[in-house]
This record gives sequence, C-alpha cells and structure tokens, in this order.
Amino acid sequence: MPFLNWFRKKSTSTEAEPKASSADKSSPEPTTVIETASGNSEQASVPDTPSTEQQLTETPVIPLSAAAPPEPKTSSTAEPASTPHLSVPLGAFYEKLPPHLLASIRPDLKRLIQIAPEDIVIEENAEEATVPLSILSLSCPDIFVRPVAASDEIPITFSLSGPVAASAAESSQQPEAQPLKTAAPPEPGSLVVPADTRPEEGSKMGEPHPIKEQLTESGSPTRPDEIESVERQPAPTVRATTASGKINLRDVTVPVDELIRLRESAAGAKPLASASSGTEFSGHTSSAEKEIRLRLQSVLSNLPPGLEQPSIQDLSGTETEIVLPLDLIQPQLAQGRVVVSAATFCKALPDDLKPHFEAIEPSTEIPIPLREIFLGLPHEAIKLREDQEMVHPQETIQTPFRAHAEEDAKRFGLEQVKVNSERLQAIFLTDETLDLPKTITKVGELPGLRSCLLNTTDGLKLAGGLDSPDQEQAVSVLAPELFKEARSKLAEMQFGALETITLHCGRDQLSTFLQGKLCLTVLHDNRPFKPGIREKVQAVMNELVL
Amino acid sequence: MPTINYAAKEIQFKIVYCGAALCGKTTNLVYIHSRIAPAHRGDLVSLATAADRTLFFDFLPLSAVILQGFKTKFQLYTVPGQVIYNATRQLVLRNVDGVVFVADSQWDKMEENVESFRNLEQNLQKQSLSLDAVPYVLQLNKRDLQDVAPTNYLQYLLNNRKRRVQSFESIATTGVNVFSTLDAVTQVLLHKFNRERGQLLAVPGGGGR
Repeated sequence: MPFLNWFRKKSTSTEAEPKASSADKSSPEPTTVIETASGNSEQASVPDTPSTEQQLTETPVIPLSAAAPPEPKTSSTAEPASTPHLSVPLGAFYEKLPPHLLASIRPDLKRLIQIAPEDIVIEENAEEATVPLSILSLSCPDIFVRPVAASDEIPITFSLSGPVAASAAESSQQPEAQPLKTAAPPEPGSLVVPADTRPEEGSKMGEPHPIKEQLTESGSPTRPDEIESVERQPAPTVRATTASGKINLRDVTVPVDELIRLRESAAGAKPLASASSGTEFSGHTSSAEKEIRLRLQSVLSNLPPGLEQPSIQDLSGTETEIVLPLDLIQPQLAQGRVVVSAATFCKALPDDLKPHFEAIEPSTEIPIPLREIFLGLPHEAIKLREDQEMVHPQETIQTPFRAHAEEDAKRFGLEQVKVNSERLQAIFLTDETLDLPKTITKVGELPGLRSCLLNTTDGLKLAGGLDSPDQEQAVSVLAPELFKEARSKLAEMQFGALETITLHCGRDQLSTFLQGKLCLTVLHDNRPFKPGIREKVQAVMNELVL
Repeated sequence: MPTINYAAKEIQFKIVYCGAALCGKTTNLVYIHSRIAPAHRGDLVSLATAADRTLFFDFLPLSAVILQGFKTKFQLYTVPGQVIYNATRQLVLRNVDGVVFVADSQWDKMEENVESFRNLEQNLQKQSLSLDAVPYVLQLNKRDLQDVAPTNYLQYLLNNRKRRVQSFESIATTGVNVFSTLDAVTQVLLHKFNRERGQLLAVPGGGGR
C-alpha cells in the first residue's frame, strides 16, 4: 500500500526540513507571499522541476513564496500549478455563513473549494479549522450576493473530522496520468500538505511562512495511477503527525477515499487552453480558478451583425450572467480585444439558453466587450511590468512649445501645482527629477497602493487616475466634500487635525488626503495602508502647493 | 536623423504623429498650427478626403530653439491611419527623429491602437530602427468622451515595455495637453541629439560654436 506508506513515513520525517525552511525565509517580499497565497487571489509560481536524479536523492520542497505570477497556460502540456491548498467542501461551513450575505441559489454543498494554508488556522485538539469570512468569499465568490466587506468580517469555524480533504490545488489542472512502472518522485506540487501555518517563533511579522512540508516519501510514487492501487481499500483516515507542537496542518484528518477521488478527477481533467490557441472550457470552473462574471446582455449587444440571429435577438433584455475563467480572458487583454469561441461561450450559458445559440458555428469567435470585462476585472490582471525604466529627461530645454504648454495648462487649470522636486526626491529616495505627474505616478506605485488621483477641491483633475473615468469624476467631487464634512464635524471633538479618511467599500478601499485646495485619493491594493505608507503620502501632500 | 545645414546654421528635426485612423493626429497639428505665431510656422499642408481622412500626410514646419548656435526647425508630419496606407506611412516615417503615438481612448478602439502601435514598430524595423532607439511619447487622446478606457489599461497596452515613456491625457479638439505632448517629445529628441550628436556641431569647420 504505497500510498499509505508514503503518508506515514513522510509524516514522521519533518525534521528534514530546516534547510528548505531557511531558504524560504530568505525569500524577499514577504507580504507578496501572503497575498499571493491567500484567498486564491494569485497562484504561486511553478518551481523548477528538479532532475529525476535530484528528485530521487533529495526531499522535494515546494516553495510557497511566489516571486512572479504564473505564466498563462497556453497549451495542454503546461506544467500544473504547484501551490498547495486545502480542499474543503462547501457543506463544511455553508450553514455557518451569515445568511444575509448568501446568494439565493443554494450551491452544491459537495463542491470543493480551495483555501491557501496561510489563511486557515487549525485547532489541534478540537479538530476544527477557522477561516476568515473574507477568505471564503474570495474562494467561492459565487455563493455570496456581494463581496465581503471589512465590516462583515467574522471567523468561520468548521469541523475537520468531516469530509475535509487536504490536497494539492491542482486538482483540476493535473495532467493526464502516465503509466508508471518504476518508482518516481512526486510531481512538484502533488499531494502536498503544508506543515506550519504560522511563522516560527522569532520570525518577523510579514516574513514568509516556514517551509511547507511535503508529505511524500522519497522515491515513493504519488501518481494518480499509483493511487488507483488503493482504490478498493476501505476508506481509512490517515493522520499525519507533527514534530512541532504549533498549530499546523499535519494533523488534518485526510480521508483516503476523498484523496483518491480528487486524484481521479484530476487525472481526467483537461487543462484550460488559452482562447487564442483554441479554447477548451469545461463549462464550469473550480473555485480555485479566478472567474469573471459578465452580463449576457452586454455580450449580445456587441455581437457582430452576422451573428444577430432572431433566436438570439429574443434574448434582448436578459439579466443572465455568464461566468468565464479569467485564464481565458487575461492573456487576450494585451491584444485590445477578447474573444471566445462559440463553443466555449455556449458552455458558459445556462442550459435553457443554449438552444438559442445552437445555429452558431462552434469555432465562431464571440467578442467579449472590454468594458464589460473591466467591470469585474481584478486590478492585478493588467499590472505593468516591474522592471520598467522611466524615460524622462533630467534637464529641461526651454522651447517655445513649453511656453505654449504652460499657457494651456493655466488655461485648462492644469499644472498649477508647484512641486519641490528635491524634497520629493528625498521622500521617494530617488535621484530622478520629479514633476507633478511623476510624483503622482510614484504615489500610486507605493506598496499596497494601485492608483492615485490628484484633483482640486473644485473637482478638477490635475494628475494621475483611478480605474475608470467614471470613478475619477465621482471621486473628484465626492472625496473633497466628504473630507470637508468629516473635518468640520471632527473639529468639535479633540482628536486633532484630520489627515486621512479611508473608505472601505464592497470591492475597493480608497483613502483621501486633503491639503489646502488639493485633494489626493489613492486606491488600495486589497489591504489598508502598509506601515509607513500613509505617512509617506501625507508627506508628499505637504510638498504640493497649489 | 536630423538634417544639419552648417551653412545656414540650421538643424531640422522630423516628428511624426502616428496612431490609428481617426485618433486625432491631424487635430493635433491643426491646434498647434492655430497657436503658433505665423512668423514661426509655415502653412499647414493637409491632404485629406472630404471625410477628413488624411490621404497622404499633414505637414507643419515650425521654428524653435537655438541649440549650440544652431537654429532648430521642426517638421511635424502625420501619417494616414488607415491600414491600407502602409506604404505611405513607411515613406513618411523615413528619417524620423521623434514620434508621438496618439492613442484613441475609446473602448472600441483598443485593438486598433495595438495594431497601429505594432505597425509603427514594424515600419521602424524596416528602416533598421528599434522603437526603443527612437524618442517617442504617448498621447492618450479623446479623454473627454464618455466611453473611454481607463488610462492604466492604455498604459498596459502601449506602455508596457522595458522603457516606459511619458504619456499625456489629451483632448486634441480643445488643445488639452497637445503642446505638453509636443514639448515632451521635443525634449527627449533634443536630449538624445545632444547626447549622441552634439559633438558633431563642434567639429572645426562645422561652425557649431
């Protein structure tokens, strides 16, 4: 019974990890680790696959720290993602969710959702696990009527003694099983259960979690076909023991039959291909994958004339939404156009609407309006590369064009803000000469922020921008008003001068700074200000004078 | 490559406005022409169809600064944006010194923007020029319209290269940031010229100083 042996032996060999652990700790950008591994917001990168010889002689280690986002899967032979996740059936916690946040349609409670180990706290003795509600909402957003706001946040505790399975995250991405005649090392990321979910004692806040333990036995096969060898066995539970007394996931009760079922489904699952290379889409997406919701009406109203058939026109005014995997959309965004095949599109439709589209050739491209996509697009989907070098001349040559530009700026109310480049350079620790646009760009690039808008209290945009022009227009007007109102009310209390207000909305968080006639609003990157960032933005505001 | 006339002590730079059809290239030149004093500009030559589609190119000569004793002149051109006029674009892009890429901010123009940008790269390559070696700036035009894409998406589409160039949100019809764009590309190309060719002007007999 190699599978059981693999579990037993590996679970007692946790001391073999310190080398890997230290390597993991040396990983830069600790906060990235947390963010990329949590809530399925991003997948960790696929580590380099060691040679077969290395794999047989070394204990495989799956680093969880992700320095780069995964490459889009463009072919059916792509390597599976390797981030280990816990698979938890919806039924384990569904009844404990706040009813007012739940969608009216009851989901399939057997459906597995996947949670990053960092986001789950295991109570050893009680055999219970606790996950923040916001994490669950990220893992299975479709069961909620709206995103979980900070004010909704509660811990959700559920029992581990039920059918909770620890498994690798790639259950839907595992390549087809290959016949395995000889003992082979595990695939990267296969059947991995992380060891500790908390930093070791003494580790600094925000440092990467200690290395996760891979429950494999060196040389012991873990391929799906190997698992089949225990398929007929009764369903014992396997308890992995731990050398550490800390809260960890090694004591998660793992029903073997559940693992077998997962591996079987993984072996049969077809990986997603990018839309540009012939789309394959199973019609539903696992919650581990990012999805994007689109209003069907919006798609239909943008169909090319050749596709506007009477049967489709009947659907005018429909409020149906379709869900497509982000993997299908994201690689196409750089082309300025997104299409899916009619076959893929039909699979995403509810069954009752599919007949309306039967007449369309399956290979026909259905354009998806970019505007619709951007209504639900995660901001990280269009991040600029990080190694960019700004091309700005350091010195200014006086030209007649410049004089005209300054005249126009005055006429249009632009560029009236005076900046003290040297002091701003000191704030941003850069030698680059900073003017207003560059300064605002730099504010938007501070850790934890994703965009920045500077406007006057009259609502005139001066520099920067938010996610959409509509947002900019609304924020330019609303934020100064809100700030002034709050400031006047708070002035009566003795809290001191109001510097910043932060609004936690359903989807985004934004903070506003007001200084004289200048109003600066930043959009946060999922979380509130990281240490020191608010003060830095405030310091920038102090250097801007209208 | 700028034209240097040592006898007349003149340097001529060629700046080409590129971009998809109807993105506002000609509108930029019309606005610039309207704001520059007649003494410092020539006539705007515009060969367009009745539907205001540029047929061949627009041309606007401008006098500008004194650089190391040389009077600098700028020739502003636009290219026809329509796909079929690629041969004309290649012709206009010959010996270009600086490029303003005008992007149409409307959602349904994103693909055309990307195609036009790629076409620019390809046409430069045919002159053995890399876009990275040519001074250029981005102008995100038509920001006053309702159905426009966010600027971060336009940056993602057009400014996601190793070199991140300056970009300007503009409204060419009213002139917002039209001169800022022109000034920026002028700055970049003058700095490049100073860096790479400045010594040329000081060659004995060249009369550079």
